[in-house]
Amino acid sequence: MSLADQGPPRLVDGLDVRSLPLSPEDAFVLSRVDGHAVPGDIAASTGLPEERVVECLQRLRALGAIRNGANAAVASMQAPAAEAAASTPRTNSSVRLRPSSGDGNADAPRATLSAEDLALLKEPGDLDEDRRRLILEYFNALERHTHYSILGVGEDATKAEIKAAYYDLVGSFHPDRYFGKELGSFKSRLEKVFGALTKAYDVLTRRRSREEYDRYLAARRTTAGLSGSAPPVRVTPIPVPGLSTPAPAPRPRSATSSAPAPSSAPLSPPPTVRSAPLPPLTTSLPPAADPEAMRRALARKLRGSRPSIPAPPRAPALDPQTLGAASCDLRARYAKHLEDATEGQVKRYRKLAEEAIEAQHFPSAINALKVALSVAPEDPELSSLLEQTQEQADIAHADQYLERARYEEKDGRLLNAASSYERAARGKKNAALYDRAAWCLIQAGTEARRAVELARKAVELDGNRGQYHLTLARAYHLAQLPASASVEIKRAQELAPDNDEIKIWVKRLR
Amino acid sequence: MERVIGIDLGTTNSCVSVLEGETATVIPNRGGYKTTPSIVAVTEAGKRLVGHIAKRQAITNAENTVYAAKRLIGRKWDSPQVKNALMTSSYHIVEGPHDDVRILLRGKSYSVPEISSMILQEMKLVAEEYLGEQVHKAVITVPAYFNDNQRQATKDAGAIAGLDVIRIINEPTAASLAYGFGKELDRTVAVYDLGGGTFDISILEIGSHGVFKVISTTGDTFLGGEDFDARIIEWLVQNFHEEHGIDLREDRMALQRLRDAAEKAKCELSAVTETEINLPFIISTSNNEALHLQRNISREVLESLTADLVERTIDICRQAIEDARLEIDEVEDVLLVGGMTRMPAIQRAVAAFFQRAPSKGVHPDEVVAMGAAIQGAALVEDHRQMLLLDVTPHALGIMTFGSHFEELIPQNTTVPTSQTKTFTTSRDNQTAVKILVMQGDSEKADENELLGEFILTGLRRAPKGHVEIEVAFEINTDGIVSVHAKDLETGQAQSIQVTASSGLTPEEVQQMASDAQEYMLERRTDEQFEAAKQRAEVLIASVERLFADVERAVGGADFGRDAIQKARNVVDTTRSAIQGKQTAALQGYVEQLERTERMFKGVVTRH
Ligand SMILES: Nc1ncnc2c1ncn2[C@@H]1O[C@H](COP(=O)(O)OP(=O)(O)OP(=O)(O)O)[C@@H](O)[C@H]1O
Ligand SMILES: [Mg+2]
Repeated sequence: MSLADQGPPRLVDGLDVRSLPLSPEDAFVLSRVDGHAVPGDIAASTGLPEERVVECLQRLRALGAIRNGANAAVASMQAPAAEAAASTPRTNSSVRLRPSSGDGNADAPRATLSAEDLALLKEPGDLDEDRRRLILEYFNALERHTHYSILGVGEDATKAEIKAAYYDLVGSFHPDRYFGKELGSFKSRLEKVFGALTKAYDVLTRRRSREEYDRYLAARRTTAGLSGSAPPVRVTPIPVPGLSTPAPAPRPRSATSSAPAPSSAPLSPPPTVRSAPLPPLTTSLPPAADPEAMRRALARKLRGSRPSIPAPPRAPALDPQTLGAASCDLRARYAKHLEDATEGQVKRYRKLAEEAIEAQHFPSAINALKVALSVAPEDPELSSLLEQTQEQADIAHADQYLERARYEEKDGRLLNAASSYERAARGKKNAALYDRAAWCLIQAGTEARRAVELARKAVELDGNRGQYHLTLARAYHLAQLPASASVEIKRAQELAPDNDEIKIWVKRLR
Repeated sequence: MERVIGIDLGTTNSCVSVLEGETATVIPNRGGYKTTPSIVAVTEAGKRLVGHIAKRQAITNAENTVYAAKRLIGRKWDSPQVKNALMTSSYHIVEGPHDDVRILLRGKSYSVPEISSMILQEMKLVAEEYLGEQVHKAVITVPAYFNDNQRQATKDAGAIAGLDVIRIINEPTAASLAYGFGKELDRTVAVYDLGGGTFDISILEIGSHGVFKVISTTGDTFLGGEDFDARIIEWLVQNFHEEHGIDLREDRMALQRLRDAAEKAKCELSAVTETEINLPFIISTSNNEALHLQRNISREVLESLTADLVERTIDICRQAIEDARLEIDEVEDVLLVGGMTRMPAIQRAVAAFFQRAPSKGVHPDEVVAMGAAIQGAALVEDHRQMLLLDVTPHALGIMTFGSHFEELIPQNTTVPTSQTKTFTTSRDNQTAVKILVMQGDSEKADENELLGEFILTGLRRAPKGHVEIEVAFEINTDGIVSVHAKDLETGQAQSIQVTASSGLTPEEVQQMASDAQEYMLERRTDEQFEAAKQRAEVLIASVERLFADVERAVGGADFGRDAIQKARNVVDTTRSAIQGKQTAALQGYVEQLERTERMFKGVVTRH
C-alpha cells in the first residue's frame, strides 16, 4: 500500500506530540506534515530519501499522529463554514477548501483555539459561537497566509475563481453582515480579516500586481529555507505600553497594515506556535512568522523537553484504539531511543547536509545543519559549516533575494526588504544593495544600529560615493550618534557637492 | 421589523423608496409625482413650502426660495463653490458662525442642513402617508465624490428631520444596487450619473452572492445640469445685453425666470431639435418701457454651448477606468443615471467612450432612491442576500512639515480599512504635535479638506527627528474615521474619532431637530385647525340656512324655540373658536353642529 495514493497525510487534531515515542527523524517528518505535502514534497524539504519518509509516515500513522486522505480533516475544518452556509448559500463552497499548492505553512485555518480564544468565545455579544470560531480561526492565521491561501484558491486559479472565492468569503467577514449586532472585540477582528481578504483580492485580480506577487512568492520560496539566519544584530525594540486594545493579549498586526510587522513581532508571542499544537513547519516561512521560534520548538521536540508554552487545554486524548498496546510498548523504549538518537542524528543530518551541498540544494543543506545544530548547539564545526553554506547560498540565490527585496519594499514591508537586500548584497558583494538595505531600515525608523552596520558595509565596499556616506550619516543620526553623523555628512558633501539631498541633510543635521 | 426608507436627496429633485418584498417601490407624493423638487420657500405670511408648490411660486418669491441647497451643504464659507453660488443665487447667502454658510429667508437665517432637512421631512411624510405608519430609519444617498464634511452635514440634515440615518451611501452605487438586486449577475458595470448639480462615475463589479464591489469612483461635485442651464442663461443674457444694453442678471426676478426658461428649453431640446424661449415683460427700462425676451434655440447651439462640459465628464470617466486598472472593453454594461443623461449629446458621448450602447433597464430618476431602500433593508433584515463593498472616494492623510499632505489611505480603498505609519518631530525639543487629519487628492495640504485635528502632548524632549510618532488611521463601514497617534518611546497616546465638521455643533443640530419637531407639531395642528375650520364654516352656513324652515315647521312651540336658540349659541361659540384658533374646541363644536344639522334636516323633512 502506498501512502502517496491516498493523498497528502494530515495531522490529527489536538495531538500532543510529546506523548509519543518518536525518533527525531519521525518528528522531523511529522513537522512537515501539513495536509498538503505529499511524501515527495516532504522528502524534498527534509532532504531525506522518499522511502525513508514513507517509513516514517507509516510509523506515525500507526501511532495515531497522522491520518491519510483529505476527507476527514477537511470535514472538521469545514464545520464552521458549513454553519455559515446556512445563512449564506454558497454555490461554490469547494473553492475555499481547495488546498493551496506549495506553501504548506500557509495552511487553511486550524480548528484548534488557544485558551485566550476560548475565553473570547464566551465574551458577551450577539455572535453565535460558530461565527466566533470562524472569525478567530481566520484572524489567528492571517500572518501565515499567502494571498492565495487566505482565499482558499490554488496558485493557478483563474480570475473568475479568485473572484468567486472572495465574494463567497466576504459574505462571512464583512461587518455589514452583522449590522446592529453587538460584536465586541470581534468587530475589529472581522475588519482585519476582511482587509486581508480584500488585499488578496486586489493583488490577485490585477494582472500586473499578481505577476509581481507570484515572482515574489517564488523568490520567497527558494530563499525561505535560508531565511531567518541573518546575524542577530536586532536592536531590542522599544516596549510599547498597552494601547487600549480590546484583545486580552498583543495580536499580530493586520496583513494590510503597511507598518513593518517584524518590528512588532518580538512583542507578541509567535502566533503559530501558540495557537496550534503542531505548527506546520515547512521550508517556506512567511515574513511575520518567527522562524527561530519554530526551530526552537522543533529542537525541543527533538530533545523531548517540555515547551515553555502550555499546550492548549482542549487537546483531546488519543483514540484508545490507535494508542493501543503497541504504543505502550514503544513508550517503554522511548528514553533510550532518545539518547541514542541525539548522537546518531547529528551525524546523520550532517551527512544529509553534505550531500545537499554537493547537489547545490542549499535550503535542504541549511535546514539539515540547523537541525543538527539545534540538537548539538555547541559544535563549532557545525556552525562554521553552516556559515559557509549560507554564504554559498547567498551567492546562489542573490537574484531571488533581490526580487524579493524589491517586492517587500514596494509592499511597504521595509524591515523584510532590508533583510532581503542584505542577503542579496552579501551574495553579490554589492555596495548599492547594502546601502539600500540600510536605507529601508532608516525609512522604517527602527533598528538604528543595524542600519549603521549595513550602511557601513556599503561604505567599506565603495568609499567614494557621497550617497552611501549620506545613508551612513542618516543611520548615525537615527542611532543618536550626532558626532559620527556629522563626520559622515561632511564626507558625503565632499564627495558629491552638488547633490541636493545631501545639501538638505547637511542643514538638517546641523 | 421596522421599515427603512431610502431617500435620494438630489440637487434638483428628491425621491423616496421602500423595499416591499423583492421590489423597491418608488413612492409618489401627494401630487402623484414620483420625484419632488428639492426646493424650499417661505411665503410672505411666514408659511413654509416644499416641493412642487415651492417651485410654482419661485418666480414671484425669488429671494425667499432656495433651490440647489445641496451645492452648499458641508461647504466652508470661503470655498470657491460658495463664492460661485453667491454670484448666481437669487436667494441671500450669508456667513455662519463656524465658517459655514447660512441662508436668509424673510429675515431668519437657516443653516444648509436645516434647509435640506425640510426636504427630507417632506419625503418622510410622503413615505409615512403611503405606509400608514411612522418612519424613523433611513438610508440617504450622496454623490460618491462628496467628502466627509458634506456627508456629515447630510447626516445632520437627517437628524434634524427626525430620521435615524443608518447609512449614507453613494448615488452611483445605489443605482447599481437597484440594477443588480436579486439577479445573479456577474459583470463589471460603469455607472454614469449626471444630475442637477453633481457628476459621478463609478466602476463596479457585481458578483455572486449579491456582492457589489466598487472598484473605483470619482467625479466632480460641482458639475451638473445647473451648469448646462447656466450656459444657456449666459447666452441669453449676452444676446439681450447686446440688443438692449441691459444686464438681466441684476434683477433677481428676471434671473429666476431665465433660469426656469433655460432649464425648460434644455429639456425640450432632448426631444426636439429646436425650441423657443419666450419671456414677455422680462424687465422694464429706466423710462418704464417693458422689454420682452424672445429667442429660438436649436439643439446644435445648446450642444456647442456645453460641449466642454460633456467632454469634462468623459475625461473623468477615463480617470475612473484608469483607477480601476481596467481596459474599456472590460466594462460590460453602462448605466445612465440622472436627468441630464436624457440629453442626446451625453448619450452619444458615453456610448462612444465605452464603445457600447448604455443599458436601457434603469429609470434615471428613480434608481438611486430604490438602491438606498435596498441597502436599508439589506442592513436590517438578516435574510437579505446583498452586500455592498464601497470605497473611499478621496485619499486620507495628515499634514506634515511644510504643508505637505502625507497620504495614509489612498483613494479607492475598500472600507473598512486601516493603515499605520511612523512620523518624526520636525523641531528640536518639540513636546507636542498637532495632527491635522485631511482628506483630498492634492499633495498640497491646503488644497485638501480639513476633517479634524488633535494634539499629542507629553513628548519627550529630543532633537528634531528623534521622537517617533506612530499614526494609525482606521475607516469603518460607516465611513467614520478614527485616528490614533502614539509616541513610540513613551507610549504616550492620543486618539480621536474624527467627526467631520458639517458646519454645525452637535448642540446646534439638537436644537434644530427640536425646532423642526415643534414646527411639525405646529404644522399638524395648523392642518387640523384648517380642516376643522372649513368643515365648521360649511356647517354654519347650512344650519343658518335651515333656521327659517325649522321655525316654520315647529311653529311657535317652546321646544322649537329652545332648539333654535341652542343652535344659535353653538354657531356663535364656533365662530369665536375659529377666531381664537382653538383647534380642539372647534373639533368639538363641529360635532355639535353636525348633530344640529341632522336634527334640523329631520324636522324640516317631517313637516
Ligand atoms: N429631458 C431632459 N433633458 C435634459 N436634461 C434634463 C431632462 N430632464 C431633466 N433634466 C435635467 O436633469 C437635472 C436633474 O436631474 P436629477 O433629478 O437626476 O438631479 P438630482 O438628482 O436632483 O441632482 P444630483 O444627483 O446632482 O444631486 C436637471 O438639471 C434637469 O434640468
Ligand atoms: Mg441624483
